[in-house]
Amino acid sequence: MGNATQKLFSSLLGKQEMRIMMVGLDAAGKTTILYKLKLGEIITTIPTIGFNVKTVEYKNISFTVWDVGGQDKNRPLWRHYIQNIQGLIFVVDSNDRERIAEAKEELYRLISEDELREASVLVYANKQDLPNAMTVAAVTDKIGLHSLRNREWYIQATCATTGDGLYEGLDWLVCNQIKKARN
Amino acid sequence: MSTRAEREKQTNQNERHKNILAKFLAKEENKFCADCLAKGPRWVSWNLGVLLCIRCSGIHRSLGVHISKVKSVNLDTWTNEQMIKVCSRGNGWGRDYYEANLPTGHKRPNTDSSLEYFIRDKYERKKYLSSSDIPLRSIEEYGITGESREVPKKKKEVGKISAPISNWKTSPTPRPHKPTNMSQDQQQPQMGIPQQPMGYHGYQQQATMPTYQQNYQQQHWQQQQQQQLQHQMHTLNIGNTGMRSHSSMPQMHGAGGFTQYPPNPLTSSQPSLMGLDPTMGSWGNGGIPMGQTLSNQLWK
Repeated sequence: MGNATQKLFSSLLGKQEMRIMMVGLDAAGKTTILYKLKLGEIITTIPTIGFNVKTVEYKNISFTVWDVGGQDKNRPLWRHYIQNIQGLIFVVDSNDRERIAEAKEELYRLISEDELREASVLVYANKQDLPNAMTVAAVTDKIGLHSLRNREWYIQATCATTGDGLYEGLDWLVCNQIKKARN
Repeated sequence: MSTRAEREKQTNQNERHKNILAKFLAKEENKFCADCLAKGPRWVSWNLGVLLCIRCSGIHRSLGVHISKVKSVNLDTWTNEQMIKVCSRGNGWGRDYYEANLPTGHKRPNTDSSLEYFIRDKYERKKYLSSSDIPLRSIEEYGITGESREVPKKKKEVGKISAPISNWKTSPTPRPHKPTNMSQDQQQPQMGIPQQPMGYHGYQQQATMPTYQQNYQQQHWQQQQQQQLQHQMHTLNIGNTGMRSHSSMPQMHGAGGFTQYPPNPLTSSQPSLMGLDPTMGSWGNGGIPMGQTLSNQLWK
């Protein structure tokens, strides 16, 4: 009953929902991003064992963001979260030059999954505030985004601790989703 | 390329590392977090060589990988290099090294913010650092000495088989030829007197190498060449244009000054700064990458 009322209100208010999965190597900043979006503040995080899920309201859209742990042994679990998602956010630690190749490998492994065949990919080149961070261009190059075929992608420089770039990325996801719905 | 043999080898190695880490964690000096003294640390900053609780590991991760690289004891896979680095250090060593000049009667902080302050003091600002080097702990008991081929890489004289034998004693002893002997290595480290000291070769031996080596060694050898290459590229990168273009990038004050790629029509009307990056070849068309034209975008 409550659910039906909620649906009615949603349709009246034109509220849309989007399910988003946020993945990336460990310590890329996924949980910090999630809580920055949700609470607007920086919390002290601990490594994610399992996942966090939060609903974020933005521009009359309700984003359900799944933040999945990035440790080695959590990565095979990513594929269990991809059902029915409408957007994929891949978070990269721009400061971690040693593991950028590993990030690339994980990204490609994930998007080769059948269910993500048509998913758009938003990449957050995070931690841009750190002194040795790679530029967006360098990250794009290193994770080989140019070689992605038949795939909508977008890379956004972000700094989770200040919140810079986070909403710009979401804007792209929304635009992309609306476009897909029209087609 | 991931053959079954490789996967098995990987599994074996992970299993072995797990056992070694269990042994390492059981040591009295490693039973408490290096920073807050919480019991039973399960996280490791492998470049600093100290064991941490999950809370401190979170703070370490927020420092950035240029200061601390955190791994989980049971949720991550480890390389030999990391194993050696950690097992030759540990919290006893860490206390002697990172807290040598800690004021007497110093009380461990409790709150998140004071803990972060202390951790930054300790590892970033190196306030309490020992003025002299602290000798590393012996790793013989773990039986991982035969595994590392990364450590001798530091040697300048690559390619000279005539390197002094005494060096071999101090450096880890390579594993014997057959991978099937791997499990026995731990009990018999002496077996590993190198017949063909892999990883000690220089570039000039490249051509002859595959003719006499076993397949698995060849792969390892190639990996190592790649690692060396990557290392060189990495060093190059640091002094490269990437840094300069970064510093010329606007600092993070509001989203307006932030570099976006491709330019987001919703939020920005300014041209993408990326077009200025000389390292990229495909920015010629105003920051829009080849292979992803805007024609199929919503804002056409």
